[in-house]
Amino acid sequence: MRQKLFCILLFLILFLCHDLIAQWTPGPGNQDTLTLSLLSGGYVSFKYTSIDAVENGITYTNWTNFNLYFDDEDNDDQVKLTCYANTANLDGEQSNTMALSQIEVRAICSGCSGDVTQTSWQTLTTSPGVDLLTGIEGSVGGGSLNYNIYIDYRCGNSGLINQPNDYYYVDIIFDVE
Amino acid sequence: MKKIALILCGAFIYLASYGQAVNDKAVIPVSVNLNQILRLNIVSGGNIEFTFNTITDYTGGLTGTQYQTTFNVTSSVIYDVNFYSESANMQGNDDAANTIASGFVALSVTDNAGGATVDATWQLLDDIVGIGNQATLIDASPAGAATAAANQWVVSWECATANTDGSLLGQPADRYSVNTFIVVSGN
Repeated sequence: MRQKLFCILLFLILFLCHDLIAQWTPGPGNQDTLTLSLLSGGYVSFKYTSIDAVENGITYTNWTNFNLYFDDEDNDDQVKLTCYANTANLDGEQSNTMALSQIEVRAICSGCSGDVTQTSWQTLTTSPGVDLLTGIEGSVGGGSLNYNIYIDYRCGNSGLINQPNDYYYVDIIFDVE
Repeated sequence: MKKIALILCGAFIYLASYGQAVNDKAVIPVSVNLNQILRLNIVSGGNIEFTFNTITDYTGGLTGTQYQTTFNVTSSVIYDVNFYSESANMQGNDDAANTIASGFVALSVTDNAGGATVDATWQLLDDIVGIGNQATLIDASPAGAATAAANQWVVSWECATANTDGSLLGQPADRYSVNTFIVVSGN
């Protein structure tokens, strides 16, 4: 009998703590889940082998494909997709540098509706970065939504003439919050 | 007690799994591989043939637009163009014993006003013999596509004129030849 009573009390305590713990959880709302999954295009490589590419740049459309899962239990939150570079420049293997502004990014949200805003080409910067998609909501009435997001990249759109030959690299971090 | 332990364990798992992620990140590595582009294309005048038929040809030499080489350059970097000849002498094709100095032929590059520093003086071929003696006649030309006017060049050639070693009168009749090299390199 005492054991049963203890169990009931324990459940009651846990139940009461439930909301308290939920309130301590940082983020857009209680019990919300936000997951960015990479489906394809996890590496972007721009190879310049023609003068046309050097003068006019290279563009890759729909190169990276993300799935954004947003479970907004309270249906009261909006999240956004941002991106930023992890270094101030593209570093070359031969100690040359290339400006981040040579890389531009944009996001296309397939099937997005409502308040979602797609921005035009954004020049890459360091953190906090640039917004690619804003106003991403969960479903009306609460629940989850999956968004199919494609990322376009372009490099050297304003020309890379006289940029020292090298192998340049940078990491782009995509962040949803 | 076992039941209590199980309940506590279950409660712990429940609480631990409760705090779901509310933001997420993905990292995409980006690389840019810049290969240097330097290409030279001879458009016309890849073989210059001076033919001496009259005594005036011998005394005045041969010059004119028919003795021109047109070439263009495609470059992703600022570039130079150097010239050098293969030999100080031109050897006769019909009789190998016949030779004349390659200085009877001279070349000059026309400045296309595209931003490069151009040495338009006449260069005797026997003054620029070998890669070690090459003359930089086009210096620091802006980079760009071959279609750009700044990257299109004209080389004029003369033989037996005042810009060269002079008259060929007295030289054995033969067909003489020498190769001249045009070298494009990054500035």
